[in-house]
Amino acid sequence: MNILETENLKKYYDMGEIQVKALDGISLSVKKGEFLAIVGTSGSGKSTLLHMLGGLDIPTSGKVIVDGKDISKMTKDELTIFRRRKIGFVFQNYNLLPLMNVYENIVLPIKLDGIKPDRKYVEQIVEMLGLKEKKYAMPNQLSGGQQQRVALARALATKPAIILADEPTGNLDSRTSQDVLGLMKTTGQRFGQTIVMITHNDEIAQMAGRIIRLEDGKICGGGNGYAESEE
Amino acid sequence: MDMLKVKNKKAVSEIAGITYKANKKRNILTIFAIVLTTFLIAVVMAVGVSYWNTIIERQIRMEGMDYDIELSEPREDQVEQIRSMDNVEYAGIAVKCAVLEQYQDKSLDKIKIYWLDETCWKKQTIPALESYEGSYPQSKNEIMLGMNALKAMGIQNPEIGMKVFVTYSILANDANMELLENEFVLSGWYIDYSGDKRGYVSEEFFETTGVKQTDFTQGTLKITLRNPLYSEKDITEMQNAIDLDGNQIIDADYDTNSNFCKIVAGLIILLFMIFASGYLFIYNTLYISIAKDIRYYGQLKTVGMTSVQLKTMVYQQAIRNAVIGIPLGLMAAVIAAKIIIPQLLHIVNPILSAGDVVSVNVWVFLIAGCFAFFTNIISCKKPAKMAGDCSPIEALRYTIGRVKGKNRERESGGTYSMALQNMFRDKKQAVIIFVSFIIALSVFLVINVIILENDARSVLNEVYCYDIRFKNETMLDNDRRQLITDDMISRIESMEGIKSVRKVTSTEAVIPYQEDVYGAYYEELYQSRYSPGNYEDDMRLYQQDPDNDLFTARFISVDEKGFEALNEKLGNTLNKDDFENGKIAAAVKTFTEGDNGMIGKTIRFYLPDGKEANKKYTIQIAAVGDIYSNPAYFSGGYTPDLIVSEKYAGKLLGEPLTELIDVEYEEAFSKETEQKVKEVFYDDKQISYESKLERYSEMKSSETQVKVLGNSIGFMIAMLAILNYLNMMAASVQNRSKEFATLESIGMTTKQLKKMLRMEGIGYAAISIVISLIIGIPISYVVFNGINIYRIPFSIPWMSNVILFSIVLVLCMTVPVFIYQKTQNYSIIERLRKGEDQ
Repeated sequence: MNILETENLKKYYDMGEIQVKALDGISLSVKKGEFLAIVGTSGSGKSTLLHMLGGLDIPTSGKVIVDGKDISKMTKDELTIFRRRKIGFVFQNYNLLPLMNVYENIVLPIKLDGIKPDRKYVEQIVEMLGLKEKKYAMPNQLSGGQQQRVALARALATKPAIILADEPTGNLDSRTSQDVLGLMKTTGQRFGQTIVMITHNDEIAQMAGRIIRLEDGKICGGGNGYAESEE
Repeated sequence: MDMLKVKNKKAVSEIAGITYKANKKRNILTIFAIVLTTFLIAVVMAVGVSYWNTIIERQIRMEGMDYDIELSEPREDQVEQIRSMDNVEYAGIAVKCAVLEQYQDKSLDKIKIYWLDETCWKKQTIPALESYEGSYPQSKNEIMLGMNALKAMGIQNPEIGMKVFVTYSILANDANMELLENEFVLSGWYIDYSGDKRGYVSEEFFETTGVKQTDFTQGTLKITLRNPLYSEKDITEMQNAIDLDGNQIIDADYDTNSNFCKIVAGLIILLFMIFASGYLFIYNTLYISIAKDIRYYGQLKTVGMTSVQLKTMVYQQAIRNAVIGIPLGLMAAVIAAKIIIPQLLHIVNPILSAGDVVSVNVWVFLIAGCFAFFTNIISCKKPAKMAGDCSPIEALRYTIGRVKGKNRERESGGTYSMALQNMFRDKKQAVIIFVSFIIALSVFLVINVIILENDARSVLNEVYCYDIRFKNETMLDNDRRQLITDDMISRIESMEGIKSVRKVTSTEAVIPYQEDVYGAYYEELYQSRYSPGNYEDDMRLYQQDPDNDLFTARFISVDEKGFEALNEKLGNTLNKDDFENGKIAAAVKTFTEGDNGMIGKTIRFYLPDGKEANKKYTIQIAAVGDIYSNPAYFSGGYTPDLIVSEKYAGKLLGEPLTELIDVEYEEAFSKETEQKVKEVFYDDKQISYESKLERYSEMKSSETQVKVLGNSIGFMIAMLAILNYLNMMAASVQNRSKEFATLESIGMTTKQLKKMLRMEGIGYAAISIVISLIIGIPISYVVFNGINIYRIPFSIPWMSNVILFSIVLVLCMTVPVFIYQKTQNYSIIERLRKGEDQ
């Protein structure tokens, strides 16, 4: 069963007289529980694709279907709520809120949903990600790896079906990168989550179950999305 | 050192130029802030000066004459001596020489007739008049009258040259009380705000009256000093120089200096606050981009710019902003102060010529301009200093509002707690927001209190204890009779819009010589300046002939409401039941200090007009008051008057004659009520009235001026408060662009974000309103008392403040949301990226 699909997804930017085709007709499908890595050089459109998948950016044309729903048809607020419930984001630069401590950052998406956080579950994530000691620390007291683990915990907090990770290890050294990625993979398996990660690092990409390569806004390597999923 | 000197001035200027152009949008904002601040400060000051002048002018008009001190009964040699003194600007003579008693068949309420010398008329009286027509009387039969006097005579539309046939008496010492008649020609009339009924006559007429300027209480020398801030020492010196006669005094107010200091202190506090809110407005605008600036200066430092060069560059930018902003602001201020506000006044009151309402001094603009310039420079310097103080790399990483590395053991995180955290995220900025907001709101509060204080209505409410007073002018005549009947009083009482009617009756009382009660009083009286003559002779006369006019008293009664008012003035020392039952009375006198040992003593008296004319009564004096506690108007001889209850007076007199009634309206200054009340006595020529409303109407032209100017200042200050807030909010929303994007990316809906912003806004508004009340009320109280001329009780104009507070609250709730909607319309990802570039 496909949890994530795109149909002929296009994103064009007008830059003066030149038209930049950031995404040029991407059709892709991802199965539930899959760990997919999207690789490509800078400017290949991989980040744009991830943003489209998460509803953070609006496509010029084409469809994005998440869990059977076409998100390009949703209003801004519907999309936000949908994202809050279905998708967890992990950014390269963590994007933690500097005024909140670790715990508050993690439970914020749950609270935004008006739900009382499931303490047991949150404690479980905190424990798994090795953040127990740092529960009340402020983001600027943490190292990069710790911050990224907090970001991951925040992404996991709402038990989303999909985790979208945008260069999650981009700011981390190689050992920490391995740690964070290992944790991501473990938690994904444990909670049955689908993970889509973009990276320009082939070594990191190897940890994924499937790799697709993007170039000039088109899928050019690692096989066509359909082909592999149809196997 | 010379070796190190390189020609880099040009390079720095170039970078300054490039930076300046690159930051166009920001510079426009800064210039806008400078324009606004310059404009607001200049207008507030210019209008403030005019407002102040108008108030002072009105104060002089209310006094009817403009002078500093006066010498009673001046001799010719003293006049010359004083006029030649260094510290005397000029001195004019005024002598009261006659009293108009009757015009046609109308009894007049003692219209006093003065002769003024040229100095007194031209230099001291004309400046205190709102306006005058015609000229000062020259020939013997000419007379000039105040509009108040003319109205009392029933002349509504006077004409120069009209004949005025009056009955009058002259005030010469040796004159018998006989009434004279004369047909005067009206040579002119005038309007002032004194409420006095007066008139002026020629020197020639004055000479025929036989009154001399040295006659007791009639002649005075009005002295205008070069420096109106005199001390007691100055006056004593003057006294010593001119050899005063026994009764002469120099009347001076020794509080002048301290009052002046209080006023100056009040105004300084106010000015300081206005400047502070202007300063914070510019500072805030520049503070918004401080982080960006610091990073940019850090970049310049990494490529080798020195701190000195950085500062030079910053100054150049600041000067550019000032050169554009300040002249624009001043121009706008000139337009507002010279054209818009005067036109506004002209529309409200067409009598005022639009030209001379707001007197704008050049220094006002100079101060406002300098102020804006220095504020701009000081505020600009800060980022340069900060960038200069830290290493280039630190400067590059600089962000405002960094949270200190400290664990925070809490598990909140809802919209409310986020809003609360956001308000205080940057402690320094929070402090600045609150301080600027609180100051602006407090200034508004203070200004409004001052405007209310100087409202003619507030002033008149203090001067008058009634809305209208009707007085029986026959009280001292031989054919006195009841003109204000109980029937008329109850008719007034039953009218709609009447709050209360206080009735005062009076009759003559003869009080036989009683040394144990009045001994001390008479001794002090005969030692005072008002001494009627020789103590021994007069006391002998008193013992022999107690019903001599010199020693009679008035036997006054007050009703229940009158008792309350009287008792309050006497410090609530009267027992109501005892007063009601005629066991106790209050004594009131004019010429001595203190109670002269009268309290507790019992006196004997009889009432020639009473039921039993020769029967002696006794009553105990329970309290002693001065002239201000006397509810009656007419006076008897020198013996203190007695005030008793209406019930007791009725018992002794049957139906006592009503001397006057004081009518209070439900709604003060109500024209409608006044008209209805006046109709009751419409035809009666022997009843005079004094109306607060009429005095108010006379003050109208200066009143509209005071109001328009005052409200303009209030409006400007409110603008400053509101703009300051908008500025802060706009900045805060834009600065947090990235954070909003993050929140949206993790699932905060626009609705939730807006709610958070609204909560923040309410928080800012509520906190600053509460603090500005806590701070503003005491400050306004201090300023209020500093400039309180009429001893008006302190009160706060809640209405205007509630309006401003509501506007502030509404803006706080809507503006951040509006700015968010207008500015945060890029996709989340673009905003996240933009945030990183910052």
